[in-house]
Amino acid sequence: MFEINNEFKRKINRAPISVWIFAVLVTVAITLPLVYLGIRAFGAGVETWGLVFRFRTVRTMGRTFALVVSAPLLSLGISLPVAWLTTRTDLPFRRTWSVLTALPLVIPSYIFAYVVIVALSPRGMLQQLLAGPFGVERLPSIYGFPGALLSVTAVSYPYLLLPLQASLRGIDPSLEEASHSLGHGFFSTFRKITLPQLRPAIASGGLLIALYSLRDFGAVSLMRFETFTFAIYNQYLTPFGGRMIAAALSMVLLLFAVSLMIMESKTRNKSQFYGNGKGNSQDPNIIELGRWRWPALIFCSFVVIIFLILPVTILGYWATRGLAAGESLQMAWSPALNSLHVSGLAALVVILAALPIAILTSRFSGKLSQILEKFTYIGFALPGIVIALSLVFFAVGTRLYHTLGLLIFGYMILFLPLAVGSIRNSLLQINPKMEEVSRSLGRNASETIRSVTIPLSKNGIFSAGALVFLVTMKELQATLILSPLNFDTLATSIWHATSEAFFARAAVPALLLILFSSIPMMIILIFWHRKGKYEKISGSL
Amino acid sequence: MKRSAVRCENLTKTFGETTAVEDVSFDLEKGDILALVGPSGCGKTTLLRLIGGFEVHDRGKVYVGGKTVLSERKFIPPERRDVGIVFQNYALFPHLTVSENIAYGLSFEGTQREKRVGEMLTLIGLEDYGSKMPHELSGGEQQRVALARALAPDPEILLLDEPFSNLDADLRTRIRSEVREILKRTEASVIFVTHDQDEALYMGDRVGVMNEGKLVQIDSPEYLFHYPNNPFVGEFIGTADFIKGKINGEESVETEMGDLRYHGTFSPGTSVDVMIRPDFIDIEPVNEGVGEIIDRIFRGMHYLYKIRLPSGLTVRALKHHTENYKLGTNVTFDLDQEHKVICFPEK
Repeated sequence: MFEINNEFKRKINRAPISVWIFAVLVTVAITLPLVYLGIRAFGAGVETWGLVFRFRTVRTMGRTFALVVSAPLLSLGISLPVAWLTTRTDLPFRRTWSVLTALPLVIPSYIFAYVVIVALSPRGMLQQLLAGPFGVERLPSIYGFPGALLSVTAVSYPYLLLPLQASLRGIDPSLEEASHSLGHGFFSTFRKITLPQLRPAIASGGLLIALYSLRDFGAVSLMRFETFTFAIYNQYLTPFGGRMIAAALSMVLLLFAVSLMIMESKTRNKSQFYGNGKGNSQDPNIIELGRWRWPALIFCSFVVIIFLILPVTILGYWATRGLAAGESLQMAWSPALNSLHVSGLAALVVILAALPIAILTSRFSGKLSQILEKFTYIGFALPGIVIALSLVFFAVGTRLYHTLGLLIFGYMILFLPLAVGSIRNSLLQINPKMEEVSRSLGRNASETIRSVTIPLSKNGIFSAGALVFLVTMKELQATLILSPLNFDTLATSIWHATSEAFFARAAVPALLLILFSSIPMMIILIFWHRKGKYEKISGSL
Repeated sequence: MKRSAVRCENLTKTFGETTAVEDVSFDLEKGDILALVGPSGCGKTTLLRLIGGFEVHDRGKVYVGGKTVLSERKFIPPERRDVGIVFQNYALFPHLTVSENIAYGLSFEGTQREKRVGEMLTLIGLEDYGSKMPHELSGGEQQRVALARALAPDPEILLLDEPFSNLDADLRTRIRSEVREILKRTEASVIFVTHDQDEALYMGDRVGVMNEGKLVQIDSPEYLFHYPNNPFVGEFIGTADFIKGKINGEESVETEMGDLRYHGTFSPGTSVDVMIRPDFIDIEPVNEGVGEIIDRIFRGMHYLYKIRLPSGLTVRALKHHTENYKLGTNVTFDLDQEHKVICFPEK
């Protein structure tokens, strides 16, 4: 009896076969190159692995470790005060500060590194300013760890800021009131009650930043700070066996990235346990700053000036300086078109690839669809350099090598999880009863997907597309390695110009890149705010 | 006279245009339980939060244990008020064990601390639950832990904000008797806020009725029920209907139901509103009776009859379940009641 029921249930809840085929094909396609890289790396022989485990690698590991630990800590130092001030106090213009402090997220790490180099390098802009009045001839070198840490933190601290703000808004205010009534003052309550509630947000945001630091290539390469990604790139360029070492190093990096990923997903599962089960409608208590308003405002201005206003101003200054010195705008024109071209193409391809997987995992949840979903996470864990390398190994010697198709395929592996996640979330917010109504009115499963599911998740699909466009625009490592020959995007031209110290030449593409990335960012924010229109209707069913 | 636990004087609090608490004054003796009851939005929770130190007032004073904690010039923060509070959602710290929750407000360390936590666990009957986490407890257990946490530092006054509203109806009656017993055993002074009149009458040594920010009446539960000083109190505590009347003697009021004995002092000839409770009057089916039964609600033990009077006003009367009358039956009233009715000046 029970089994028959299950059999019937499967009949109701069966996804169209075409969706299945497509999803499985996509998953196999994105997994294959990596498997191939693994086979090659482990088949590389004792000799190569011997080269991997030499002193130099240990130092690379040490440098990587230093960055992966320091960047989240520094980010916490910036994010915690900003998050608290913008959510729990009567700081003037709280909303504005919230938006401005989150904006550095659109700046790629290599652009910030570029700004740091032109401003703070031994004979940079700051030295020029100080040379006149104080006679400073040289500043201490910014290259290496300090520069890399500053650049990576500057563009990744919002990963911690945003979840902290959400948590601070969500804390049940009566917890803090209970603590006060039991004789604990502000600081004691913050330390013993508020901070422990923030632990899940700190852990998961911190791990995201750690992962960002581990995967970053742009900032560390320009700062000549050889962490794993940069070491792999250098090996990749080395003739005679360098590529085998690069493959082996990629496997080590992969191991670290996957462990960070697993840790991150563990903290997220655990955080449910901390959530206040009894939903509270009360707003959090707002603390009046009084005279402390001024230092608070100064702190927030400092963050916004350092991480947003100064970088953009410096870029503007170098762009005008470059143009005045005869740098032509034409130079930036073709990379800009290339960037728009590949980003648009990538957005389209990734959305098409993501849709069946998102529909399967959110609507027809079963063992196989869960496995498929896990595989799409590959792109989350893998640094772009590893994916690029796996595709090189896969395609070298074939016609595919150095084609646009291969590049777009690389983007697909990298950004599929972003798109699947975004579409899946919007699907999960649509009441499944909508689809049941459609079935009861005589439409079959695939007609229902076409006429109900996809139109209802339009917002999610659009914002996923905007997101993929944004991240493709900023992508550097895979683009450097996989692009067709003599094919420059904004990202690669900024990187080339900066690493060859043509500072004026990098400024215009950098400004264009920030401009182009701000547009999809705004689209995402608009969709974010429009969200709820459909959900409200379907929620009331 | 016993020592005062809490005194409020002319306490007033406005939120923009709305007055949440208006000119509230009362005095609560040590060891007493005051139940504050009123419809939602009447200001009872705001009053509680003013005493707890979570809101700032506009005018008035609050004393806790004889010390000023709130006045025009003074605001003592909650952590230095010696006030315990149990919130509607209990607000147990989710990252601390039951024992750590209870110990949170204790200022002393070491064995003394452990001893106090042990005492509190015994008090609430959860001796073996010390190392459990809050999410492992049932609603009733969480409730008792929240109570123990608030009582552990032996506060001058304990505030309870709708503490039973998150519990299922059948659990609620059991838990409230347990809580009352715990409170009485510890001789705590308590202010308890609820919108449920049964709960207020059960829990309170004294009951304060609030409406639109004002403390309308504060008295013992029995007195409040029998002698409301205001039609609102009469209607809110228990069931009441109002009919028109004219005073026609020293203890007598003339109504369309006949002459009733009343309690109070009005000069003869005054027009009044007369409050009738369902158990105050008795009905008798008589063909020429002035009242007509228009509705009948079966309540198990009793029938509650709704009777229309010639003026169109209605009163309700309680009869034993054996007295089964049809709708439309004409009834007369047995006026030889033991209860005196209450009259209010005509509105």
